[in-house]
Amino acid sequence: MSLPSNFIRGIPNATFLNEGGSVGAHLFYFDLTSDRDDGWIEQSINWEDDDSTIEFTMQQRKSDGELQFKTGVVVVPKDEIEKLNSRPTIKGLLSFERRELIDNPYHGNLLLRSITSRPTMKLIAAGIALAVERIIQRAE
Amino acid sequence: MASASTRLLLTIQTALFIYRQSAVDLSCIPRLSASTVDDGSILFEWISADYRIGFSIEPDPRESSWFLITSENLGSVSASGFLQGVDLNRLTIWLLGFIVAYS
Repeated sequence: MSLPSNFIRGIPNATFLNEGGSVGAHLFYFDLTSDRDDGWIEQSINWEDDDSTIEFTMQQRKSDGELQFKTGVVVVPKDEIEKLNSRPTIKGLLSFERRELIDNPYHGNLLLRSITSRPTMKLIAAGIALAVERIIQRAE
Repeated sequence: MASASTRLLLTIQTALFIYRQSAVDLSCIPRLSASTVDDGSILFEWISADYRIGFSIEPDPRESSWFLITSENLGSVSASGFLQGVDLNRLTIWLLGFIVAYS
C-alpha cells in the first residue's frame, strides 16, 4: 500500500510549543537507546490516510485514559523527509514505514539509523521540525 | 549543565554586543527559545520559517552540540558539530552573522 503525502505527529504537551507558535526540534528527537535490533530506531507517527486521521490522533489516549497529545498535532509532508534524507550530511540515515497497530490503522514510524551520532540526530530533528507544514492546537 | 547554559548565554550576549557596536540592526533576530528535554538536555533554538539554529547542552558535556539547518530557499544547508573543543565565541558570532544576513 502506498503511503499518503503527509504524516502526523502528536504534541504531548505545551513544553513542545514555543512562544512564536512553532514546535521545538525536540518534538522529533529519537531515543538513541532504543535500537529495535534491525539497525533502526523508531518514532511513532500516524499517516494521514484520510480526513479523519487528525481527529483520530487528537483523541488517542494512553492506557490510563489520559489524552496522549494534550496540545495538538503537527502535519509534515512525506516528501520533505525524502529531501532531508537526500542531503549529503544525512543521506540514508532516515526512513519511514507503515506499521499498523490493532487499535490504530494509521500508525507508522519515522526511522533513524541506530549508528547516528547525537549531534546528527538533533540536526535531523531540527530538519523535520523545519518541515512542519501545519500545527493544529487543541481548543482550550 | 546550568553553568554550560549560562556560559552559552553569556557568549551569545557578548556576540550580540559586538554586532551592536558595529551598528548592525539586530531587530530581525528571532527570540531565542529554550526547552528542557526528556533526555536530560537543554535545547536553545533560533527559529524562522527558513532556518533553525540551535545548541543542545547535554548532561555529558562531550555530547553537547550545535546545528544549523535551512530550507531549500536558503540552499538546504545542514551543519552540526560538537561544542567541545570549539571556539564558542567564533561559532556564535558566525551563527548570528547567518541570522543577521538571512532574517
